Amino acid sequence: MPAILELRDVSKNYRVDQCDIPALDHIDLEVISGEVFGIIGHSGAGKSTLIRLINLLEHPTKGAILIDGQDITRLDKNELRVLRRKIGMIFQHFNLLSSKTVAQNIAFPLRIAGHYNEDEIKKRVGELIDRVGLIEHTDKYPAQLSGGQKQRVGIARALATQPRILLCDEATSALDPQTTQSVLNLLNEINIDLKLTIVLITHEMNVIRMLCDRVAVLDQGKIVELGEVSNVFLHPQHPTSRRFVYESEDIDEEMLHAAFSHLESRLIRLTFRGNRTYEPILGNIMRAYHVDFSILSGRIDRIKNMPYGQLILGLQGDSVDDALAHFRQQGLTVEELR
Amino acid sequence: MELLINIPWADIFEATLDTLIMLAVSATFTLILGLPLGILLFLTGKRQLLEQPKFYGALSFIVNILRSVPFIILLIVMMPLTEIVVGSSLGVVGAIPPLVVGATPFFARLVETALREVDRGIIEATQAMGASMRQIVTGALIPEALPGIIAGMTVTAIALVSYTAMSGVIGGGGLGDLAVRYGYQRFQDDVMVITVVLLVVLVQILQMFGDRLVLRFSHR
Repeated sequence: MPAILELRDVSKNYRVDQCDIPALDHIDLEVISGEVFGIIGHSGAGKSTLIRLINLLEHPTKGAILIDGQDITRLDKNELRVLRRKIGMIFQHFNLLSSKTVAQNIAFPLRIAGHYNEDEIKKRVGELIDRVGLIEHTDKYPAQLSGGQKQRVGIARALATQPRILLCDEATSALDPQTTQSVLNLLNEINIDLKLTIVLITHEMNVIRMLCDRVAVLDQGKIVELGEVSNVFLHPQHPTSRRFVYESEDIDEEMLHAAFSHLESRLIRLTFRGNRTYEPILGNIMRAYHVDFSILSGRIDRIKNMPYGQLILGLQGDSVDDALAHFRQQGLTVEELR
Repeated sequence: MELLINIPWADIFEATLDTLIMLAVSATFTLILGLPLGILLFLTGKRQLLEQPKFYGALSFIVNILRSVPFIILLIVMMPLTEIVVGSSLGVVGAIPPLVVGATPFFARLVETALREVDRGIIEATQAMGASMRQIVTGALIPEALPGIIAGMTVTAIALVSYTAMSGVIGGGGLGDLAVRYGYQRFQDDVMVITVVLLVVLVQILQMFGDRLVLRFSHR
């Protein structure tokens, strides 16, 4: 799959009182056409700056930003405006025009683009309102809508000019959990139906888990970990990534280690992915090798559409090693904790 | 009752008309000149789209000077310039240039303030759509700030009403002038009361009309 977006050795400094404060430090990343790429970081990590580089709302101090292989930092003003019409953006606080109705807000980017006639605008706005499920709210003003509805208008507006990339700037951070879920579902639908590439930033691991294919973990302006969401989520390497995962899963690693310290058995972490999660592998193998096991902690859920399970087990028996080998042979990941 | 017999109704009617003409014409020009000036102040201000610290500083300084000159002084100082611009420095016509010069910087500041109230996120979103500077101003900034701009125009129009009262100095006429001439100089309190009532009514109507418009355009 070709990269639709590439950042090559991008740095961004802010000048504050004659001092250069680095916001982003030598960022390299590639976003593949059609994927949902997430960037997670705490506030101040630089993610907000990073996403704004992609449509040049912020300019990099150094480095190249390529969209379809073309370095956008070299575009002149007019070329940049044309490019921006091909990159939609939605925002944490929606940023709808309070003076325009839902329909007028969605029509706004089409009017800015300038080459649509009234009939085309009307037709396109109708399609978009239908897609985001707001038909009965067409002529309302944003102040009359709930947060979730406002974000749907934001999404419709961002899609109006049929962009190639959709940027989501903390798009669900101002929404309650239920509304977050419905907005994430809508984004997922759009990603699949329109094959639209989505780049999002968030500080919530759950957003990454539910929507993204790949993730970059940003810490103090640097990418500290980058990979498939399932890998980063199930086997986070960097302390910052681990913190994000454990926070979202409510896991307190130290407490667990302390709690298990008196146990005599061997501790392992077993990870299932995909449909294997639902098969009775654990019982079968344990029975076959006469291994006694206790489940000490675990989580079973889905990453995007993939089911997974991750258990910490205490094992006792003569053939524990054979059992572990069999797990590995079955495609499960086995990590020995002790 | 004897008092009311000597009321110069014709003069009052004429003065009312003069006030309305001065108000309408000067308010129109204030709007035409003050709105772009206010937008320019806003855009070149600190951390705004066309940030130009030196230009903004100079423009801001000029606006402040004009705002600190008392209107009565402006009226007199501007006489030679007024003569060049409208061909006379006297009467209703002669009053209009100083009224415009007095009110425009005031209105421009109110416009600047109204524009600053527009959520930065909205400007950013409009930029992200690929809007040009002109599209940002006409499509997003002005519609979003419209209630504030209308409220500013209302305050300015009311300030203009009180400015017109001073135009009597150059024979500008109007209700304020009538109040001074009859009420103060000839001790005809009844005329003064009538003109003041008329001014109060005018201000009330302006305020009410302005408030209605603000409400009409406010969807927050």
